[in-house]
Amino acid sequence: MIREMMFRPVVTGFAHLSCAGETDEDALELFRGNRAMHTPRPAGDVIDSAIRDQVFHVDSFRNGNAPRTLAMIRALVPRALDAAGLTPAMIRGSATGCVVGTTIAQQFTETPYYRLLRDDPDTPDNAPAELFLNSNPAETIAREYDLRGPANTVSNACSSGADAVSIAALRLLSGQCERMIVIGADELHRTPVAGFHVLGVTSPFPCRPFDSARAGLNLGEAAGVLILETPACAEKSGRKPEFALRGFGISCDAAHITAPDASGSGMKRAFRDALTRAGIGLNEIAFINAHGTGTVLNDRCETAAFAGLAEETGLPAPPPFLSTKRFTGHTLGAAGTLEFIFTMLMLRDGLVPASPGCRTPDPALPCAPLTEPLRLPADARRFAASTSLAFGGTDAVLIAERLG
Amino acid sequence: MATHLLASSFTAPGSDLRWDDDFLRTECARLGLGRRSDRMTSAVISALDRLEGRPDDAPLLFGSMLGVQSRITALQNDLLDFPEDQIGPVSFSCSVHNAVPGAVAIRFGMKVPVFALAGFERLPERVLSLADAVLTAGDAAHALVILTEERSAFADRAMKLLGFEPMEFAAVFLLEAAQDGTAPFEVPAGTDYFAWIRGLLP
Repeated sequence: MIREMMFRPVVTGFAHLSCAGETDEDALELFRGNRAMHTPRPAGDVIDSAIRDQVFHVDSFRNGNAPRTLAMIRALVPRALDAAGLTPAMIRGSATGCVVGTTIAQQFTETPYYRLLRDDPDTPDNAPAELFLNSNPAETIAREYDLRGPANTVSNACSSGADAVSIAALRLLSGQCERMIVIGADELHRTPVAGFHVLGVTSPFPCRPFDSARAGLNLGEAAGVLILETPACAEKSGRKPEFALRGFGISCDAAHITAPDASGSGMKRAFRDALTRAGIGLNEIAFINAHGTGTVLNDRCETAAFAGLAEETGLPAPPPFLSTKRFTGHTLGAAGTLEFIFTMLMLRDGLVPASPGCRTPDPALPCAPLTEPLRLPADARRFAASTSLAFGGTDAVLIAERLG
Repeated sequence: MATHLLASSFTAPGSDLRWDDDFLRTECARLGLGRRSDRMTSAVISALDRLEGRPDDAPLLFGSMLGVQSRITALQNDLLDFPEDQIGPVSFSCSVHNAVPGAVAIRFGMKVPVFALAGFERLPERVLSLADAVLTAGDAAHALVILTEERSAFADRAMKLLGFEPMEFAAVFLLEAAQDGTAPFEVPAGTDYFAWIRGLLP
């Protein structure tokens, strides 16, 4: 049923905020090895938590009294619009849609209020609940910019950011609107910090995806915003986009609520769908920006999928791959959007860094990540993929195209 | 483009398929869900199991304003009552918003796209319009929409603030892509046909 897309939604602008920096140049200097990687710190030093696992907190970002995830989104949307040559006035009242991938911002996690309700079910204090009900991110951005297109908050755990991009593409491909503001955002928060800790998947040191000495993941916080439009919409305003969403694929491996299928079957299915929509072959993918959280199960699943795809398409090896989690931590609902932006930046720069944190690739894996930086030849700087995995068994693949 | 509603199923307190402890216990046993299946997941799976003609290859679109309240409340109670490193891992992993559709996919072996949506403004319409987008974009012949809410102390408070009576239900809808939304169409023989969605505001 999946077929090549009727048109390719174009990316006309983006903005990002993470421990990799706040600007494209910040991130690129990090990728080039010209800037030191962020040093994670114990969670309890930066958020209200007793957990001491290492986390990536964006110290420079101050959210004041606003919910932190929403504050990051509010800071980035104007920057992404500006990069796209748009102003708030230009989109106000238009059929522009908004989709936000997040985990924390859509669930009520004010623990003290639960105590209040438990102790006094008739408490007259509604303030925390009202704040939550009035700050759903997609609905808030739609209200604040008077957007008339579809607004969705998607919470597919760690693939939320990638799924937000796919939802935006579906909205455009179906003709429901011409432009989407796509957002992935999540703050560091006590609830997932404790949750991932008790699942036993957090690392006491900076994460080392695909490394034989890996010990798990570090949580992080980030936001990424991109403006996705139909080619016709971008053309009307005379803008020449640099990138397109060439393909996307989503699947569920239906195996386990927290563990991915170790054979990588769901990831392979999502990747095949993305390639079919893109109308290209695996051999045309210059590199893969993998989900690469630093857990054993993630590494097994992804490398099995990459190696399996190469085998079934007759390639001697899968495309080169890396994980950028050592730069940012695992930013949950932000990861898919942020890493798609990173993928486009690497295509722009023509340089793919060695997978940070991986010194000795795990020999038990069927394929190894980049251990040296990869300079892309000019004719191979066109397509790259970004992958995501999530609780619930979700797998997502996005393919970026650098337009000539 | 138009979307056909082929079938629906519903469980809620007071309906023919009620949602109380006895019902859920019986359903859990019948469906082999085991004692660890939470109320919302059990009710949704029960509704889906009763849906006639349920395809196993239809994308799942899940919409809930407040999510799986029994798990979320258990997690927050853990955080209130125990040190953070002693909270229940299952309370955490099963409290995420897409845990219910993930459990549905596992139960029925559905290796399909899953979208878990949240929000407070016209959520049902927004989930249905995304289903329409999935069908219109030609990604699938059918889509399954799940709408559900579960009561809790917080959910009851939130519902009142939103102007609703406290409620819980699990409703599922099977949608089919129509080839032409404006011309007359033939309903396949034997189709259980309830409604035709002619258009949706995004």
